[in-house]
Amino acid sequence: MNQQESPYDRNLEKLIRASFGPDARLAPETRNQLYRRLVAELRETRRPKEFPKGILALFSSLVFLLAVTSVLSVWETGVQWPQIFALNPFGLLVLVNLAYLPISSLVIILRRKSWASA
Amino acid sequence: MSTEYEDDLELAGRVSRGDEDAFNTFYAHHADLVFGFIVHLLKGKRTDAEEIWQDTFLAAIRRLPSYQGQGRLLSWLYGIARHKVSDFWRRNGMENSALIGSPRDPRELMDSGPLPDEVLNRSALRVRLIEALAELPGDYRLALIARYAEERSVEDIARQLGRSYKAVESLLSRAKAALRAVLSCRMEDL
Repeated sequence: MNQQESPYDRNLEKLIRASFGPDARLAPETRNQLYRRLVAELRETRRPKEFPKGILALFSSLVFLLAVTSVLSVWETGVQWPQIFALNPFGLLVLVNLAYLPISSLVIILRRKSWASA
Repeated sequence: MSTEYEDDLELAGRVSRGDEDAFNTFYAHHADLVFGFIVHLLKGKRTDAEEIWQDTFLAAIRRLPSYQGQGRLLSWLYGIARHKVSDFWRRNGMENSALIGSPRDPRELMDSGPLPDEVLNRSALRVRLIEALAELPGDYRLALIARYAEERSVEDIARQLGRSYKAVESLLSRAKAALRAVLSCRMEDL
């Protein structure tokens, strides 16, 4: 094959060699470093976006406070407990919020367990 | 849309969906070429080249869903790298002089005797070569780099590609002809 090579071909080979010489080669450590960083980036973009927990917690707390205040204001008028919930729909929110705390804690514990086993 | 770059489009799609095997192929095929391209654009400033090379790949991973297969994936990466290098020159108040040629025309010299070092060391010529390689089909590019940059034997390349010795010789010959064609167009604006 070499005997048939034109000066152009030989120069082309020389140019390829020069273009990828040691000065244009990556250090293996640098190459691996970016590889790891990009894989992490890729996994991050693949993870589904979650609803912001902070906003959820703030909203839940506000509703809870509103409901408690509302129930207390009815209670001050001397109405009995079962009637409070009947008279004021916010009373139901107190119950919902009280139930939300153990349920959300359970969900978090279960998710952590599934991440750990993955 | 052209079907010429379907393989690249498929690879980009798989990487965008988080396929790590596809990402490994993407990185293995492009990381070194993009670095070579940047280092020559920066006229051998290695430290800056490494930084720009990282920025280029981080930007590429984020923008990959926007790649529509309008050109080779490698050319698309070069486009991002070129922007990053321009920003670098601008930030440092320097002119992007890597693409300005010298009075001696390499087109004539390529066909005459051995290329003089003065021409061979020219960043602009190396950038053009690396750009031209991006336009070749993947197996042409792989064979040329393995044979002439990594100086591997034909037997070794044949083993890697699962082809015969003769088939690789023929592949190299076709790859050089294709590179010559692409390069002659690119050298016109040197």
